[in-house]
Amino acid sequence: MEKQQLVNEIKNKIIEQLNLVDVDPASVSATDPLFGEGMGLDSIDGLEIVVILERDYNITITEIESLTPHFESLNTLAEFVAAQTAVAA
Amino acid sequence: MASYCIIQPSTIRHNGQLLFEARVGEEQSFFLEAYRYFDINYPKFHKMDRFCQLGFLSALPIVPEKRLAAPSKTGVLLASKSGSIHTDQHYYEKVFAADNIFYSPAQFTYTLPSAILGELCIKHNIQGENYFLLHGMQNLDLLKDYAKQLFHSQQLDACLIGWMDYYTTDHFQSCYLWVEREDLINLDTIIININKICFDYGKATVS
Repeated sequence: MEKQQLVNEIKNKIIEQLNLVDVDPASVSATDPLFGEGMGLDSIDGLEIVVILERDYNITITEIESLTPHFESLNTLAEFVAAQTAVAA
Repeated sequence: MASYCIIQPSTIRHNGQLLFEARVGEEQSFFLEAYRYFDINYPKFHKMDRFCQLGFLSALPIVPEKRLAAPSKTGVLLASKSGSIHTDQHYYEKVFAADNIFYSPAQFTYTLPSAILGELCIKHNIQGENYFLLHGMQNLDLLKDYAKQLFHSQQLDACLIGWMDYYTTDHFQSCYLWVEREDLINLDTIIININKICFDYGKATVS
């Protein structure tokens, strides 16, 4: 899967999982911060993203703290998903 | 100045005046339509469970954006008979569904009915006494007495008092009251009137 395609897929999953009704997917760029500014997610939302990773990408998360650098933006998250799924394949 | 808000299926009333009414056939989307009526940008609203959304909307018309009372002298006292039972049931069904091993952390958060206290304190910058009581009495008497004690002991200068229940999309009710120190002298009368308005009607709709 192309990186941009994966970014969009993850973005749509996050918006759906977190019920971000007022968020226009087109207004969220791949480099926007996921937390604080940007998409404005919080710590509970971070756990919801872990659910997405485990449920939809079959990625097993053992140490949540290790995810911090991957949770910076959709770009970093997509890179993490791509790397993890490539390893699994 | 004291101000109250009553929400029942399809209507929001502020100080007795109809503020918002869902259109016929749109009762299912009452909470979303009511949120849009208030024209605020608060994305976290959509993540809340219905119980929290009910409390959030109940406070919106009555908590002043600018107030004299300091955040640390502003409190919130709430009571409910059912608490988060609606969310509890949904969560329980998901946890025990054979085909679902992934539980929503966000949904779990809202199985704590007192989560509404946090939502209100964040939204309205309330830093004083917080209190959430589960009990069966459908009136504001107990909370009124507690609020009076907090006013008299100088712990609060303003307080949000509320009672709420949420069972289903057509079976819920809330009654929220905003009081400030100057209202203290009339608080008994205010509560008697609100109990009559809210809970006499409530007996026909909420059991």
